[in-house]
Amino acid sequence: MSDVTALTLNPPAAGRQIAPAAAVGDTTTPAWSPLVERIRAGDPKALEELYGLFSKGVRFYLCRQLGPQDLDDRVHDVFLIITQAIQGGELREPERLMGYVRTVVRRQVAARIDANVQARRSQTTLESGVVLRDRSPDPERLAIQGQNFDVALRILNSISKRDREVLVRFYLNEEPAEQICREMDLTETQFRLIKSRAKARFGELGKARMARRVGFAAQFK
Amino acid sequence: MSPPVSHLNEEELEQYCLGSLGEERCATLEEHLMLCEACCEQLTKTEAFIASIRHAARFRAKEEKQVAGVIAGRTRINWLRNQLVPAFVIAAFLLVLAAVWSGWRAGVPAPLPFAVQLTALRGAAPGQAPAGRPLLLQLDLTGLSDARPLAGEVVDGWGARVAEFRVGARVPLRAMPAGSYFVRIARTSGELLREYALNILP
Repeated sequence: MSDVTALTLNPPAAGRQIAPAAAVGDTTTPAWSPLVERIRAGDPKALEELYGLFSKGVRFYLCRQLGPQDLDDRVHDVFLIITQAIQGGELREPERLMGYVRTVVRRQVAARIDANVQARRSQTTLESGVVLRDRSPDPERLAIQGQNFDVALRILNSISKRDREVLVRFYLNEEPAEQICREMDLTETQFRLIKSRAKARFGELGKARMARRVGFAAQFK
Repeated sequence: MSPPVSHLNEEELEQYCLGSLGEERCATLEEHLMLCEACCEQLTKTEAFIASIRHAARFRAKEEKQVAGVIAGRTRINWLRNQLVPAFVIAAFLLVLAAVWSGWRAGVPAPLPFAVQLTALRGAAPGQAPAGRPLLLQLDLTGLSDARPLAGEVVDGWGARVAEFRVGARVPLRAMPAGSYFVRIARTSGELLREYALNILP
C-alpha cells in the first residue's frame, strides 16, 4: 500500500503531454482507465498526471464556491481523497473518473459550507486569537468590478429601450426567455442576438479600457 | 473511439451562471470545466458580464425611480400652482371689484328725503312722492295732542303693514316702491285716529 501522506503533488513540466487527448481545447474524451490503473499500481508519475489534469479545474471550482482562502489546502485535500479512493479500489468505474472528481469536489464544498454554518451558530462570543477573514474583494478586484459596472452602465444607456428591457427582464428580473419572447414579440434568434451584442460590446469596451490602462502604465516604465 | 466532447456554448454557460441549467447537463458542464481552462475563462467572463449588467440595471432602476419621484413632486407642485393661481387671481379680482363698487357707492351721495305733506282733510288729494326715494312725512296732527302716545304705521293697498314709526311732526321713512299706501295714526291701544292717503309714483 502506497504511502499517500508522503505524496508530493507537483504540476507537470511545461509542454509535457499530460494524458491522451487531454490538452486544453481538445474535444476527444480521454480514456481514464489506463491512468486509473497506473495510480492503483502506485505510479507516482500517474499521480502527477492526475494532478496536472484536474488541478486547475478543481482550483477554479473551489475558488468560485468557497473563495480564495486556504485554496491550496483544499485542492490537496480533494486529490488526497481521490487518490485514496482509487488506490483503495473504491472507484469501480474508471471511465467515470471525471464524474467522481466532480462528486468529491462538490462534497468538499458542501462540507465546508456546513462547517461554516455550524461554526457561526455555535460561536457566540469573540475569543482572543480568533482570526476573522475579510471576505470582501481585494482592491484590485474591486477596481475591476467598478470598471465592469461602468462599462455595463454605458451599454445600458446606449442601447435602445427595447433591447434594454430584454436585458433587464432576463438578467435582473430573471424572467424566462420564452416569456420575454412571447410578451415582447421576439423570436429566439432576435432574443439571443440582443444578448450577444451586449456581451460583445461589453468585451470590446472592457478590452479597450484595459488597453488604455496598460498604455498609460507603460509610460512610467 | 470515444465521442467528441464539445466545448460549452454561451447559452449553456449563461444558464449555468443563472442556475437554470438542468442537473444532468450541469454535471456534464462541470466535468468539462474540470479539464478545460478555456471554458473556465469563458465562464468567468460570462459571470462578470451578468453580475455587471445586474448591478448596472439595478442602479439605473433606482435612478429612474428617484427621477420619477422628483418629477411627480414637481408635477404635484405645478398642478397646485395651476389650480390655485387662477383661483387667487379670480378672488383678488372679485375683492378689487367689491372694493371699487363699495367705494363707488360710498362716493355716491344718498338722495335727499322727499318731503310729503299729509293732511287728513276730507276730500284732500292724497300725498304723492316718487318711488325709490326716502321720504319725510309731514303729518297734520292737529287735535291729537291729548291722545299721546301714538303709534304710526304705513300699510299698502292690501292692508299689509310695510313700516312702523314713532309719531312726530316729521317722520322719516325709507324709500318705497310705487303703489298706493295709507299712513295710519292710532292710540297705543289700537284705536285708529287718523288715516292719510299716500301715493308713491313710479
